[in-house]
Amino acid sequence: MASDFSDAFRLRSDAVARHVIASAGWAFRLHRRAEEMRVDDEASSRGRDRLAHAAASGYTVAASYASMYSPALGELLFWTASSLYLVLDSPRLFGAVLGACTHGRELRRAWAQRALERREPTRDDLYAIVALLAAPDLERREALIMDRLNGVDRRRGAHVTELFVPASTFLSALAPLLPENSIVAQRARSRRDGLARLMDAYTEQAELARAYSAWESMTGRFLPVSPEVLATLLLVGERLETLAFEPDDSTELHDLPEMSRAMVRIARDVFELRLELDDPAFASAGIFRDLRERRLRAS
Amino acid sequence: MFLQRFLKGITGLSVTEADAILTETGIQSQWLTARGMPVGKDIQRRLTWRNLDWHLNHYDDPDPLEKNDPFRDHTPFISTTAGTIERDIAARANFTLSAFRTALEFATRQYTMTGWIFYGYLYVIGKQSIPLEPFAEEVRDLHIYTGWLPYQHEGEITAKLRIPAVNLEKCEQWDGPGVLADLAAGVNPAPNTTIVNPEFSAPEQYTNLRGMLD
Repeated sequence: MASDFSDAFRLRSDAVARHVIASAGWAFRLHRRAEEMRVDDEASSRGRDRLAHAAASGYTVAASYASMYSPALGELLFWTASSLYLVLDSPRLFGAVLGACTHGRELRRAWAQRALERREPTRDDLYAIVALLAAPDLERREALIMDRLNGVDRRRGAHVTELFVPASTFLSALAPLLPENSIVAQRARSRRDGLARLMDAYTEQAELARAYSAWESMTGRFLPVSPEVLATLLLVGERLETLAFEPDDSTELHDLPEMSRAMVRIARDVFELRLELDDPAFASAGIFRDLRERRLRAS
Repeated sequence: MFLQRFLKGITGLSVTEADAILTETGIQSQWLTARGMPVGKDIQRRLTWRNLDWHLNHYDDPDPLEKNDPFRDHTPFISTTAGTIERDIAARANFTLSAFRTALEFATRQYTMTGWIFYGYLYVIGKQSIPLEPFAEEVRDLHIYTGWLPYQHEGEITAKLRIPAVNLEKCEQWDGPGVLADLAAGVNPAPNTTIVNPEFSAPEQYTNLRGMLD
């Protein structure tokens, strides 16, 4: 049974659960409207895509908050959002980061393929690397990542991510997974632990967001369970085949602030998730059962 | 000048009270409710940049100009919403934040109680016009209010002193927990009750389109 980490984020768990149902519920309505919309010209096609984008964004918000109390529900909602972004042919690879927060092998494979097809001129090199790391059984992974890292090095990884943290901070955390001859991996060895630096940056952003009164009403755009941080933690855990950053056991991360500790434990819960388990959170709304059915059909 | 449709969510009203607002009093600011109809310089002293800033950013804070009462108890402004567009940078897409959802979540205190949504229209001029009582402030518009506004996503149009009943078309009563149950089930939510204002003066008749003589 997963824990409820709402307290660690200084949020009331009943309010978090309501927010998840409302965000997912409105997203579900938009999603269905988009599916039912008759598309016979470019304008109506754009209209449908706008609805679907808004739905994907709503599912992403719901996924972030759901992860606080149900790894299974959070995973399902991240999967739903990521799948929508993929179908939408989104010009960015943010959906790949959401996909990396799931156990969906096919979804991750599809995003890696998208990352290989697209060469966006800015910002998305980190997301492409996440997509390549998250894909199962990818041939020439190291070479492909090296190719993307060259792009990052040219820009020094300074561009910010959705969390408003430099991409280089994420790359330092991912350094153990990157090709040994890459500059990022070599530099990382001379720095203190990349994951700890990432969690420091995450905590700083989260504390800033929490200073606003929008925190308690959950109406701000900051996602407490950051998909980027969650994906990074899961990738490190998967590739190293251990969640070595578990704070109870770690000498480096044991003194993390409360919210970062919760974030790491959420990652552990998602990492250890067995999808066949029936999480009680699914019973809280019929739409969650519907989304789960859609996922089962898709796989 | 534009006639701008808006929604206003209000919680904790009985049917009688909602009907009175809709058809008689209109929606009044807290300041007006507390002290009755002011005149002349009293209004000018209230409709200031400082007070608009406090209305938007310090609504619940103690106001030193009002013996440290919460600012909200003396605000001459009225928050309404007309929705807005948000940039989703991560997805490189813009999407709509609906006025209805914002008003509903205010009215029902995040789906925990029953509340009302009022439908109406305001006058806006596409520029800042804080001292001018008849015109509402489009604080949601980043080209008019360029400073940082934490709640920009709420799509606020800020009215002043009073929104007359003649500008209010109808109001709907929504049951917050019921809406949440509908959303959870994938069902379209519907209001419990709708009251229509027979004295509503529809904005369409004031647009500058002239009909032909028969």
